[in-house]
Order: sequence, then C-alpha cells, then structure tokens
Amino acid sequence: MASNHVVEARGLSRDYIVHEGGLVRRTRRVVPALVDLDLVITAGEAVGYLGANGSGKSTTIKMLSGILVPTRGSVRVLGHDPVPERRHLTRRIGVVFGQRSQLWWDLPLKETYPILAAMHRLPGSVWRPRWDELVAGLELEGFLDTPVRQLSLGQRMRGEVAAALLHSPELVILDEPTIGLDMISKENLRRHLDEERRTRGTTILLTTHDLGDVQRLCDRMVIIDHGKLAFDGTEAQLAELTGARRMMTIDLDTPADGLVLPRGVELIDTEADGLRLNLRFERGVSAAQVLSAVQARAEVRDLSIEEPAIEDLVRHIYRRG
Amino acid sequence: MAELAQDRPVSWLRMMATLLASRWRSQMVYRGSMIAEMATQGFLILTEFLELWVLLTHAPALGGFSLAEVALVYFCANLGFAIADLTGGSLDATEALVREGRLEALLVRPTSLLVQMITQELQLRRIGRVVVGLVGYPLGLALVGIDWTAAKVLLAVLAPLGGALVYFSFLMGAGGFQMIVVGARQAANAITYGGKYAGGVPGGALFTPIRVFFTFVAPALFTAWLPMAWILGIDTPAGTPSWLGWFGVPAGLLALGAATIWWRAGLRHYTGAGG
Ligand SMILES: Nc1ncnc2c1ncn2[C@@H]1O[C@H](COP(=O)(O)OP(=O)(O)O)[C@@H](O)[C@H]1O
Ligand SMILES: [Mg+2]
Repeated sequence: MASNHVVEARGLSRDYIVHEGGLVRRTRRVVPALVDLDLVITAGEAVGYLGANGSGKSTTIKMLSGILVPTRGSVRVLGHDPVPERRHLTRRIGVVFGQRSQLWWDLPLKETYPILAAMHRLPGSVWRPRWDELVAGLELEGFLDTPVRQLSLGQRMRGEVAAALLHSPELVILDEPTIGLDMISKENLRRHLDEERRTRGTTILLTTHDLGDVQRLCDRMVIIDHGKLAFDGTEAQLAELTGARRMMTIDLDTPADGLVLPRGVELIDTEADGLRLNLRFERGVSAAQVLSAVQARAEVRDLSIEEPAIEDLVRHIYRRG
Repeated sequence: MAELAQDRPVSWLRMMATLLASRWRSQMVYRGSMIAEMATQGFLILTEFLELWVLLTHAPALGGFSLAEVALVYFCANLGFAIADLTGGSLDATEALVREGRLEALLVRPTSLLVQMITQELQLRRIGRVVVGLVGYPLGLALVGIDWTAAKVLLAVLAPLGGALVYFSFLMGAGGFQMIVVGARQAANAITYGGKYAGGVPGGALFTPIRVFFTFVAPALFTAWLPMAWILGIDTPAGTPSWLGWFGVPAGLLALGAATIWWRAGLRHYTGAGG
C-alpha cells in the first residue's frame, strides 16, 4: 500500500443475508449491498460519496470503520485492516453517523468532551486547547450547557462533529451528516470541515444523497448506484457529464415583462399568470445572477433552488457513459 | 494492548475514574427520583424474601436449613447479585443497543465495549440492592449462631465475591447471546434470573437435575448455599458436597471466561451480520 493512501478498497463487496417468512417456510435471500468497489483515497482529499437511499453508502462506511466484515475483497484504512484492528483505528479516525447520536442524551456538551477525551486517553493539556478551537470553529458557545436531548438538530450535529474531531483524527468519515439540517448549520459544518482540511491536512469522506451538500466542500465526487460505482471524478467532470443543471422557482408580485436572462439560464415555464417562474440554470451561472436578472423586471417575493436529484445524475451518467 | 497504551499519557485507571465520576454526576441530576427508586428496590428485595419465607414455612423440607439459615442463604446470594447488578446490570441489554443502532456509535470509540457499558450505563439506584445485602448478610451471619474460625470468616467474605463473579458472568453471557440471537432477550436472561432464584434458596430443596445444572453448568449454587452449608456444617446431597463452597471464586472465574467467549462471539456476529 502506498503510504499516502488513507483508504484503499479493492473489490470490496458486502452481501446481507435476509431471512423471510415464518419458521417453517423460511427463505434465505442474499442482498448484494455493495459490489466490487475499487476506491483509493489519498491523504488530504475531500471526497463526496453520493448515492440514492439504499445504494450502499452506509454499508461502505461501516466496513471502513471496522464495524462490518466485508463479504469479499479487501480494505485498508490508514494501513489497518479495519475489523480486526478496529480499536487501533478508532484512535486515528473520527466517525459521525448522521442518524445515530454518539453523544450522551442527558449530558450537556460541556460534560461530554471530558468523557470522550478520557476514552481517547488524552491529557488535559492536549484536549482542552483542541476543544476551545472546536467550540469556536463550530460555534458551540451558545448551547454548551444544554442537555443534548434539548438541542436542535443543527446544534446537535455540530456537537457530534466536534466529538468526532476531538482527538484530531487523520480521517473523518461522516455518514449523511446534513439530513434535515438548516442552511446555517450546513454552512457552518462545511466551513469548519474545510478549515480542518486546510490547516491539518485531514482527509474527509462525506456521504450524502444531496449533491448540493458536498459541492463546495469536496473536490472529488464518487457516486454509487445499487451498490456499484457509477462515477468517480471531479465536480467539474460530473457537471460536464450530467449537465447538472439546477432549478430555481421564483414567486413574483407582478409579472416580469420583458425579462432578459443571462446565458445558460432557461425559462422552462410560468405558473399563476406569470407570477411564478420555473428556471433552469447551468453550473457556470450563480443563483445571484439569475435572481438579479429577474429583480430587474419585478419584485421577488420568494424563491427556492433545487439541486439535480442524484437519481437524475445517475440516469444521465448511464445514458452518456 | 501494551502497544495501544504506548503513547497514551493518561492511564487506564485515570480513564476509569473520569468515566465513573462523570457518570456519577450525570446520575445525580436525578437525585430525587433515584433515592425514591433505591428505596423501592430495597423494599422489593424484602418483599421477595417474605414471599420466599411464606413459601418455605409451608414447605416440607428446607434442604436441612432452619428458617434463619434460609434467610442467610438468601441475603448472601443477594449481596453477590447486587454487586454484579451494580457493575454489569446493563450488559444484558445489548439487544436494545442493536435494535436502536446505538452499538455502532460505541464501536467507533477506542474504549472496549464492555468498559463503556459498565461505566456509562451504570445505574446508581442499583446501590439500593447492595445496601440491603450489606445489612442483611452480616445480620444473618450474626443471628444464626456460628462457631467462628478463621476459615469460616474467610469463606464468609469470599462467598459474595464469588457470587458477584458468577452473576456478572450470567449477565455478560446473556448480553453476548442477545447480539447473536436478536429477539431472545427473555431466553438469554432465563439463566440469570433462574440462577438468581436458585442461588437464593438452599440447594438441597431443589429438584436434583436443577441442582446439578445450577452447580456444574451455571454455577449459581456456589454463590450462597454451598459456602453457607460448609460454614454452618450442614449436610448437602451426594454429588454436591459442601466443601465445593470453597470453589465459588474459581467457579466464577471459569464462568467469566465462558462469558467472555460469548461476548466476543456476540460482537463477532454483530460485525458479521451488520446489525
Ligand atoms: N443489516 C442489514 N440487513 C439486510 N439488509 C441491509 C442491512 N443494512 C442495509 N441493508 C440493505 O443494503 C442496501 C444498502 O444499504 P445502505 O448501505 O444502508 O444504503 P445507504 O446508506 O446508501 O442508504 C439496502 O438495500 C439496504 O436495504
Ligand atoms: Mg445510509
């Protein structure tokens, strides 16, 4: 293994055995959740691991973090064989499961970090400065004394990320950390993870089913579909392959007569006698450009932006590839 | 594990102290309800004992024990169980961890699952049971009228410790079993609770196959009946001589070894099946 390979998976596969029916007519079904994944991630990369629900993202993450045995193939994480060397590995990686809290429900964040630090056997001289850094970076000050169960989802997720970063891991794995998060928390997370990466060279692997969540954080996109690798390349390559056009819906006070749109923006249709516009725009165009073009003609009341769904991207990839 | 500790300036003991102290603090948040619960627990044990008492006063044979001696056996077994329950009382709840998906979060931390469960799920209300045992057991020893020798004192001290080991193993084994057969919590805990019941009565009164099972397979009768029979000089049925009472701690260690194998098998199964 090359020494700068943080993750190295070769033909990594996982089947689940599902038993169905009663005791008598029991059937055994094999669900191939991940099929022959080849994936190399080098130190300092930020990889967005994308896939629709059920495509095999969490299965991959569990095998990388040593809590699931591969059915076939091999995997090395920071040089460790994850399952047999799980406890060694836990000291060098940080894992966030978006759906499952790793914090203590009844404790405030303030009391959580000494416990985690003890588990990692970090002396106060090491973890306290690090903690201060995380509190500042993830903006936790306002709710350090609130029991975790009373935190909003966004607050809790920032706490989860701080917990996973406390021991300064070389690799951070986040499994759908952005589901249900408000824009501000998402942006805060993105900024902080980006900073970790720039200042410490931390490698980041983030799964999501929402392309918009990872575009600005990750420079590499890996897409899996039904357990198989569908795409591995840069954001730009992905955009080129799929067109990756975003949708914007704008509600107006008055119809926008004589609207002139910038290049790369297409008016698909209008609704409510011209009071709602549905626009599609390409990667090179910013949402602000679209908005200002519309605002030049009418008062904007409301707007929403929709990223292309991962299913559409996959469909495009298969059609083109 | 020596390698694991190499660059860790914080010792294992310091870690345990921090973990237990934080657990203590978080439990103290519920101080009021906890004291009430502790009292309830203590009361439950006394009720349990009264039930047994009523049952036994009508039973034809108490396995050669007087009522006061029955009480002694009961409180000795209970003290052992109370210590095991205080430290390992959450180990037999792995099924819930698997079902709620909490096990994964524990497994991405560097501390062993066992230590995490013992320290972070510790319930202070379980001290209630320990207190009852700490009062009831010496009281029983004093009341039955024993001709004390050094050996008897030693065995009287060892008995609840062996008991704690045995019951801790039951809890741990049940936890390992639940990770393998999800949905089998009742079955897994049958040995624990059956053992706790059998351990608290004079074994001579038990149906022979049950007595043999809880001596040589699941060694619950080492926790009180056998050592107390030796201390009191009471005859026990053939095949289970009272000098076996001296082997409570070794039996507990053996059981602990077996439980560790179950526990590991449970974890291995979990990582193999994927929850
Ligand atoms: N423990 C399990 N037992 C059986 N099937 C499972 C199990 N975990 C996941 N699966 C199946 O494997 C596939 C991939 O699941 P998962 O890795 O969780 O996908 P994702 O995280 O991308 O949503 C899905 O079809 C899912 O139903
Ligand atoms: Mg998932």
